[in-house]
Amino acid sequence: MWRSRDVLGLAPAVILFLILVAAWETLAPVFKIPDIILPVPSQIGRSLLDSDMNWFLHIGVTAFEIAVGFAIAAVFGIALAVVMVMVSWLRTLLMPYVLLAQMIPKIAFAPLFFLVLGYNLLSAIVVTFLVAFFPMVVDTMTGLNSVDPRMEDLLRSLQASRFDILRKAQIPTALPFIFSGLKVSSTLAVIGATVAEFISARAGLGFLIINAQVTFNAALAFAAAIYLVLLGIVFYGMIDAVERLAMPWKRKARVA
Amino acid sequence: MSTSVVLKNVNKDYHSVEGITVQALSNVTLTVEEGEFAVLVGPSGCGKSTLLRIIGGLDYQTSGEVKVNGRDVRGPISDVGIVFQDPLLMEWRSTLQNVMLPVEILRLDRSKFRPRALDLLRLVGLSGFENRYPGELSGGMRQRVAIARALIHDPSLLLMDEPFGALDEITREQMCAELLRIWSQTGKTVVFVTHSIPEAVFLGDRVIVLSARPGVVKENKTIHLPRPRTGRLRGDHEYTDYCQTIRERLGLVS
Repeated sequence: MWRSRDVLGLAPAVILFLILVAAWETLAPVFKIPDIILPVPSQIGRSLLDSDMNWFLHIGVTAFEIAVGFAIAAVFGIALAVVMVMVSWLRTLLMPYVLLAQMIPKIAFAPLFFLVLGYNLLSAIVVTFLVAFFPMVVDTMTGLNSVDPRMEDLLRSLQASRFDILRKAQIPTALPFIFSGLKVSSTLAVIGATVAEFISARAGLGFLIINAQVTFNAALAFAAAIYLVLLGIVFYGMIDAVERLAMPWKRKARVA
Repeated sequence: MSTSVVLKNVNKDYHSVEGITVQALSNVTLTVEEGEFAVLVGPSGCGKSTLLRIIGGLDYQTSGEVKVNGRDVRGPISDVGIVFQDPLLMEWRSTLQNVMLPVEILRLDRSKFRPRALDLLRLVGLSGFENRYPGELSGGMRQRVAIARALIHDPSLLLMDEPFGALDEITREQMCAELLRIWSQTGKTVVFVTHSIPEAVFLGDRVIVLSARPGVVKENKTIHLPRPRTGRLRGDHEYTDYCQTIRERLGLVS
């Protein structure tokens, strides 16, 4: 799906990364930086591959929270946006809440969910969902409302129903907006799941980071954070791949 | 020959936000015969697009009578095909799918209309482009798709709102000749809006001149130029005389 030119385009950045890692590895001992403050890359690498760590479990738990929270946010976000665009009184009723929720730092309320819903996976998923939900609603609504009014005229001239206009014009027009919403939302879902695990968890990458902090195991914290980054990249990449498949017309070159 | 469009004393007022009433159309009375190519010409703001929207049922007159094929227009009518200045294609649909849009909306039999869509694409000179996306087509080609789309459900009346206004002069002249060829092969009634006087005379059986704010019919001139009309006509002085007459009616010759 990616052209070789894109891959080659990454080469300079990768080389820079390798140089920085090598510099870090060689310079840290020279300046006598203690391991518990800044572990060297080789220590982080050992931690990343540590077979006693049960990485599969922790990555799995966090990935599950992200995936479920994100999926619910995506489905409900798109559905709520469609309903709010179609039904004006619901828009009037709910829009202030959506805007307010955008401004609220949802993370601040995260501990409350654990109090109410219990210290379990469900609470972590709810927090993830909540953090990822609102950009989804707002982006989808923007997309649904960005149909050219003249296009609506054209459809109306054919006696199109409100539902026809939604299906034939608004949803396809909204697709690029929905995908950019999904990308933002997936990044936020990673943050949501991590913070949820900071608050309370028995497993997961966020749980590991908090544990590593308590036990002064900086290499482990780094390793967990790196797996989180990789998780984020995988989610983002999957959305990007689906986006390319869903909008084949975007790939075609413009001749005029 | 029966009458396709009847407008009787049509007035249209707009109320601006400041509460001022703007008269867009004043006492417009005209008829268009079936199979006729009628052109509305006038400066920007003369209400010619509004008039077209009223005929198509997308807008309502403040007073007066509007009939298409003998029936009062009380909302959008599907016996009409509309082409706007912007081709308004759906970028996510192929050329063929764009042409088929009205078939889907009107819930007609797709399998029956597909060959017709292909025929129309041939008629507008786009054979072989069925599966291209609009993003891959030139401006003139996109407008051809829009014309094919307007014809797919076989409406008796074609409303065209400055359809070539966004095209360059060369493409525009080509498209005019093409449109006449398509019109002669389909026999539709056409109401065509433009602000180009040469275009109006070249295309029309009749040119209706509207003045600006409010739109009033200033002239209703039958164009007795032989058909088929080709680019050669543009050099004839009969043709240029007509253009000059219309310029005079618009107050451009003093």
